[in-house]
Parts: sequence; structure tokens; C-alpha cells
Amino acid sequence: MAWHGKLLRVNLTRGTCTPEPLNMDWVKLYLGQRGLGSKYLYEEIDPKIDPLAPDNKLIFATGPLTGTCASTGGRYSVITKGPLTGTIACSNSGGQFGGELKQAGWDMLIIEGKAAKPVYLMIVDGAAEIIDAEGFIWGETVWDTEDAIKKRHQDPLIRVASIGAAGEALARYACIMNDRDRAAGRSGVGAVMGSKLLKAIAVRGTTGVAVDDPKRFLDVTREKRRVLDPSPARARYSGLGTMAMMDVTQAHGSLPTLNCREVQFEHVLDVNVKKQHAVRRTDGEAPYQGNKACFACSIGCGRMAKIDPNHFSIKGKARYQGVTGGLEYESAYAVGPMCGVHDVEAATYASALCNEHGLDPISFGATVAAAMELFEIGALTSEQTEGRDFSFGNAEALCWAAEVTGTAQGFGKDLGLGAMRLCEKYGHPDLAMVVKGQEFPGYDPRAMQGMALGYATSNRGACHLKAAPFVDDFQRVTTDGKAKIVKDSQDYVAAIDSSGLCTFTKAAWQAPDYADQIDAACEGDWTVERLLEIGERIYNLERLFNNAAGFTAKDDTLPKRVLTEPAKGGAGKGRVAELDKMLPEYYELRGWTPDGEPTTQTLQRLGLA
Amino acid sequence: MLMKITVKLIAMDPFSPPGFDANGIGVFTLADGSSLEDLISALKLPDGVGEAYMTLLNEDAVPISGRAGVALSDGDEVTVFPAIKGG
Ligand code: SF4
Repeated sequence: MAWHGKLLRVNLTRGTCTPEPLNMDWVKLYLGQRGLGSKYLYEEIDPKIDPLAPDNKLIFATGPLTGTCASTGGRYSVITKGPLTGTIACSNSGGQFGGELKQAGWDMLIIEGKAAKPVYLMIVDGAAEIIDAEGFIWGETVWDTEDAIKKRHQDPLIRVASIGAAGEALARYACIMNDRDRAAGRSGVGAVMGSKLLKAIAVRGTTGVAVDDPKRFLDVTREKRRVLDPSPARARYSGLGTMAMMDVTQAHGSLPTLNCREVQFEHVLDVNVKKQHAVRRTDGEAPYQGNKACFACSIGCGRMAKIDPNHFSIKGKARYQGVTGGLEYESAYAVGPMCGVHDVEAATYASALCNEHGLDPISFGATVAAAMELFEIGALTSEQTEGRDFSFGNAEALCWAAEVTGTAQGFGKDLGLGAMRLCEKYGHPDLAMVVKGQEFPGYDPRAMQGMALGYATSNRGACHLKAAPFVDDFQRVTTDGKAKIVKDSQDYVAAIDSSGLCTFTKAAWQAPDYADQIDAACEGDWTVERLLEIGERIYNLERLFNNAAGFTAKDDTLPKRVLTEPAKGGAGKGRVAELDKMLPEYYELRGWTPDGEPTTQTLQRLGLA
Repeated sequence: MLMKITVKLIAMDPFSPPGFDANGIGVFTLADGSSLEDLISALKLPDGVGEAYMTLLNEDAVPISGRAGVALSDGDEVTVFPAIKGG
């Protein structure tokens, strides 16, 4: 229960949609969402394939609590081999789409092959149909695609996950957007969708989700809301959103600035949360306009924003003058301090364009930052940038970059390669702030040694969501004890990512809070110990995928800059990321060889041998 | 002897609780020899479920467990923020 026991296999080459029973033996070992999707991917594709070839598969996986009334129970993940990194990719999204898919009666979608011409998939409860997208939505933006599908099928409650022009053009960090401004954002999952000529998945679900013990489930979810709802963490996520983080990383000296040349941003007050809430003189409104919550969420952290109608970026463009998805910390860091841009309106516009065209704003901003540094050292010239000054801090250059990357035009095609490929192309690979090809999120690893290790060992490249060393990192800049914190939190997060719940809840909930809710919804004993073991199993399975794809311990590293150039200020002043002090202990705790491969004993212990 | 300590509160909602200016900055007077822990207790910050506060003393991170052993000096600057867990 809580699973329907059903997946939909969509073969785009053959044009078929086939229901299949979900492998319930795997459910017991991998729970759902990230874990179960990864297991299917691992079993069904050769990890060595080209991520953009038809052999790659794109899996949309819900968790057992997706579509239920558990707070934040609307999450889904997209699992595939990622074109940005070549590793396994797993991108988690909220909004309404995941809950709708589950309510339509499906635990998972597996998309395989490649369509002969652009198509979209329409799912209404148990019925699924592949429909021609050419001349209809192919080439359209994410926003127009959603509107057009709802209009054609005459149902405003249809939920849509789609790609924009960036995904169609195979930009390496294209995302899959749903509900206008929520994203399965990282690792280029949208490019895989584009490579299959699949423009969108539209879903309408009315069947509901059954749970094992409805009365207990209602009692338990209510009890957990009594913990979550009054917590200061919920108040902060709701009141300030994730943007509150920028003042913290600034004070701590872990705010990646100017492509990680700096760890603090001198103009931070122009792009921080207070600026987002400050009323403008020009139109008497603040960028921040209110909140948006995902399915069943009682936190509602999402920011809605209004760009100044007089700002150069949107002057005369009615399309952008209404309320739209606003800056979240990770996007704000990337299009703000990382690029040296201190214009909150320009940053909001660039982030909105990422939503509209389906680009990961983290990778986009960090790639623009790399391009700005290439420009400053003369490796890129105004010939590439079409006569534009691409220096750090140039808000107009940022906005133009978002336009041309989103629509895959001219220099935008270069920017769509991501920082690693861009910097390689222009002869300076060391200037890409990436791990395994994926750009840094908003934490400089020199003052945050746990984050350094988390980035280096994340199975999808640099990521702040696959480990949770924050609280310790903000207290201690030394390396001791970090290996265990990172390993344990990676396993814990992998379990939460497989449940259908949002990772932000861990600011108020502890491990038993998740176990209790899963246990009430699902048959069987879902204890904390079992969930943590599942998390560890998932982490090792993802690692096995990456090892088989050709990744080794040598890839568990960081850019030369953060390994050799000491931080210039903040709590980590004078420090570099000291990976060599942490990695051996981390491998040992993981039960991996010094080459970063799980030992036979570890695999046997986790049932992976 | 009394010490004057500048406290900057960040990532707090509301931005400026009572006792702090519009920029979240407050100046507090403490007895000589007071520790960082004494200061945090004196601030009487809202303390909800599982909430703790992180501190930077003149830019250096001080772990919660070490605060009682850190003596403050006149003119110190302390940055205080909630135990924010990322995302
Ligand atoms: S906490 Fe934020 S991201 Fe998570 S489910 Fe709620 S609104 Fe969505």
C-alpha cells in the first residue's frame, strides 16, 4: 500500500505505452522515488552509454508518500544518466506534478527510445497517449507549453512537466520544469528528454492514493504537522525563504563570488533577502510578492516575485511584468555574487528566464561566471560575446546571456555547454567551478570542509542536496569528524529523497518522524534503521553505476582553485579545501577500497553483491 | 568593568527583533569576563523546537559546545544566526 504497484513503460521508438507491475521486491529494498528509480536505471541501461542516445532511459519516480496528505508529500524524481556529468543523475522536484502522477495511479514512468518526431505524453488516470507536438508546442517556452496543453485538453487542472528550447537544443544543464517554476533542475535531465523528442508529459489524476492504515496515517501525519508547523525552521522557510542563507554564507565567508575568486561579496546587500523584501522607489512594490507551496506542503517556501517594470530587462515586455517565480538562494547566488552582479531585478529576470526556457539557474549562473572570467583574461573576446562587455558584474550581459542560452542562439550555445566544456573549449579547464562536470551550488568549500567532501563524493557532481553538513560546517572549519557527518547525512538524505517528502522538512523533523509516516502508509516494518540501511544501499548502488560508467577515486576531487588558493576572508580565511585529509577516512567508513570502489563485503552486507 | 559587544543578527524573521536596529545590529553591555555563552543567553532569542544559534566571533566560527569557554573582550563583534540547514 501507498504504492499502486504499477508503472507505465513508454517506448517512444515503438510508440507504445504499456502498464507493468512494479517490482515490489525492489520496493522493499529501495523504498521509491530516487532509490527505486536508480535501481530500475541500474538494471536496465549500460552505464557506459551516451546519455543523449536513445538507449538512455528517463525515469519519473514517485515515493510512497507522494500524493498523500503527509506534509510536503508531492515530490518526484527524474533519474537518468546525466549529460552534464556522465554520472547517474537524480533530480528532485516539487510543485503539483508528482502528486498528480501518483493520483493518476502510477508509481513510476519509464521513458525509453526516441520518437520519430516531436511528441508529448498525455496521461489521464489509467489511459496514456503519445501525441504529436510538432506545430503545436515544439519550440514553445515552458510557460506557453503548459498553457497550450491545458487549453487544448480543456482542463486547467492538468499538470505538466516539460522542456523549453534549452532542452530541445540539448543544453547540457537543461531542466524539466513543472507547474511553471518548479524544476527537476540539476544535471541536464531536460536534455535527455529533448534527445528523445519528448516535449512534455501532461497528467490528470483522480484515482487517489490508498495507504495501509488510513486512521493511523491521518493521526501520524497530523502529529508530525504539529511538530513541523510551529517550528522556527518552518517560519523561516516561509517568512524569508531559502534566500535567508545568503547573509549566512556572506558572514561565514562561504559565498562563492566572482567564480570563486572571493568568498564574500562586497555588494551583497543589493541582492540579499532584505533587498528582495525592500519596497522600490520606482513603483512602490517589493520584488517579493508572496509565497507558493508545493502539493500538500505546510511550509510553502517558494518565492513569487515582481520585477520592476521600469528595469531595462523587461521594459516594454508585458510577458514579464506580472508575478513570476522569484529568486531562491541557489539561483540568486549563481546569477548574483558568482557573476558579481548586484542588481536584484536583473538577477530575478535571469532566474525567471531559466524557468521559462528550462535551464538550471545554478549551472547557468556558474557557467556565466566562468565565461566572465574567461573574458577578463582575454580567452573570450567580444567576437564571441557579440560585441558585449562580458566583465564580472555586468547585469546587462547576464540578462542577454539568459536570453541567448534559453533560446539556444549564438553564444548561448557555448554557454549551454556548461562551465567544464566551455572552459575546455577556450583553453582554461581550471576555471570551471565544477565537480564531475556539474557546477557548484552556493557554498564555497574552503570554509565548509564537510561541503568540500560532500561535493567531491556526490554521485551527481557538485551538489548541496546530497549531504547535509551545514550545521557542523557553520560551527567548525576544521576537517576532523567531517567524513562521518557527510557519509551519514548522504545516507539519510537518500532515504528522504526516496520517500516522496521534501528535504527541507529535515530542519524540523528527525529520522523517526519520517519512519513513523512511512510505516503508517506502507505495509511492513519501516524503522529508522531500515531507512538508513536503504539510504546506504542507494548511495552504493549509485556509486556502482558511476564506477561502471568509468568514474574512479580520481574524479572525487574539486577544482584546483579551491584546493590551492586560500580563502581571502571569513571563518575559513587562509584555508583551502582539504580533501586529502578526509577522503581516506570517508572511503573507510563507506567500506570502499582506497580506489573508491565498494568492497565485496560492503556489497554483500547491503545485498548488492 | 563593563564591555560593549556589537551583535549582528542575520537570517532572522523578523529582520530586526526588539533591541536591534533596522539592520539587525544591537550593542550590548556585559560584565567583564563574560563568555560568548553568557551573551547568547542574555539575548533571549526565541528558542523553538530543535532550534539553536550559530555564532561567529569577529569572523571566526565558534562551535555551540565551545561557547562557554570563549571569553569576550570589549569591542568584539558577534554574528548570530539560526541553525540553518541548507537547501
Ligand atoms: S518546503 Fe518548499 S520546496 Fe519543499 S515542498 Fe514545501 S514549498 Fe516545496
